[in-house]
Amino acid sequence: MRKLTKLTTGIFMSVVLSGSNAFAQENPKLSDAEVASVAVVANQIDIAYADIAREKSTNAEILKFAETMTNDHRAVISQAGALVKKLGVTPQDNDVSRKLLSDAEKTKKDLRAKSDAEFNRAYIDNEVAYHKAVIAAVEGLLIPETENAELKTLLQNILPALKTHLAHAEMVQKRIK
Amino acid sequence: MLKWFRRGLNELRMQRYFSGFFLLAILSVCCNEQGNEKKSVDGGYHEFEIAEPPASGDMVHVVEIIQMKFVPDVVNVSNGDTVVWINKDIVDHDVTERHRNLWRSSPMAGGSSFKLAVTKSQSYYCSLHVVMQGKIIVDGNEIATTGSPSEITMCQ
Repeated sequence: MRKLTKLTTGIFMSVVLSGSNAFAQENPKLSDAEVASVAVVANQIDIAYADIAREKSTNAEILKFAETMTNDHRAVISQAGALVKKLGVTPQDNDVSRKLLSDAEKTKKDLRAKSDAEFNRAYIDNEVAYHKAVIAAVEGLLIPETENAELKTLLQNILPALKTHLAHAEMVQKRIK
Repeated sequence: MLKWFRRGLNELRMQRYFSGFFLLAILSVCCNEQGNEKKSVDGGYHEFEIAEPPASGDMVHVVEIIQMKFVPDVVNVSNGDTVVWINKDIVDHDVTERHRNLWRSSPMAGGSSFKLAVTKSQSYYCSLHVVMQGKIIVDGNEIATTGSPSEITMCQ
């Protein structure tokens, strides 16, 4: 059975882009291996954004935030890696994870094209939007779709970190002119 | 007959005396086993004992860092008490005095801890996740924005 339809992808991406959680009512299907892949890719993308921040920004607050994103998302990936190894699950690429990666490539290109002052604003704006979208996706898609109890618990445990990142990003956003 | 009666009465008094002594001895052993200092209230034959409150500075208060929160986020302590933060989260955290950065821990990985002997009320936060905040209230006093650093001791 095809686990993920194009409709599902479209709904998920509308969530990723808009932060809406309307997709939750559509009940799209993802296997646990696909959920694990999406979770890991979503964390890797934010680490990549933080890498660009370190390359381009000289703002102490931006650099500190980026460092926290790198460390926290690495910790989450490490936890997810240990769990899938324990469960004997191999994360499986899927339409959602591939679309996340292709969209991230475009965002990274846009961020690299910004000047220093423009970059700080663009980076933190993107962090706010990205965390809103990922929170909505974890709550509305990944957790409901996960069958394994331990994987579900891990996703639930990640949510407070994501929400704290969002609040932190919004705080920095207010200070960046 | 009267002599015999008086002797019997004296023996009865002695029995009561030794019974009381025996009871006191048992209570004393129990108190020692519990490791608490206790004192007699009325000093009489029937003993009721109460625990003395711990001396100021004797208490250790634990704050767990879990799910991106300090739990509890407000700790009421006595002057000289120790606060221990234990990171039970999946990401690193630290503990940093808010107003003047008077003290701060190193980043704590999951499972590690930081302890601090406190003498003044103060607020703190996690400098890695600045929205995470907590307070230590010493003897119910207001939080001052100036003052000398408290004694800092790290433990991993």
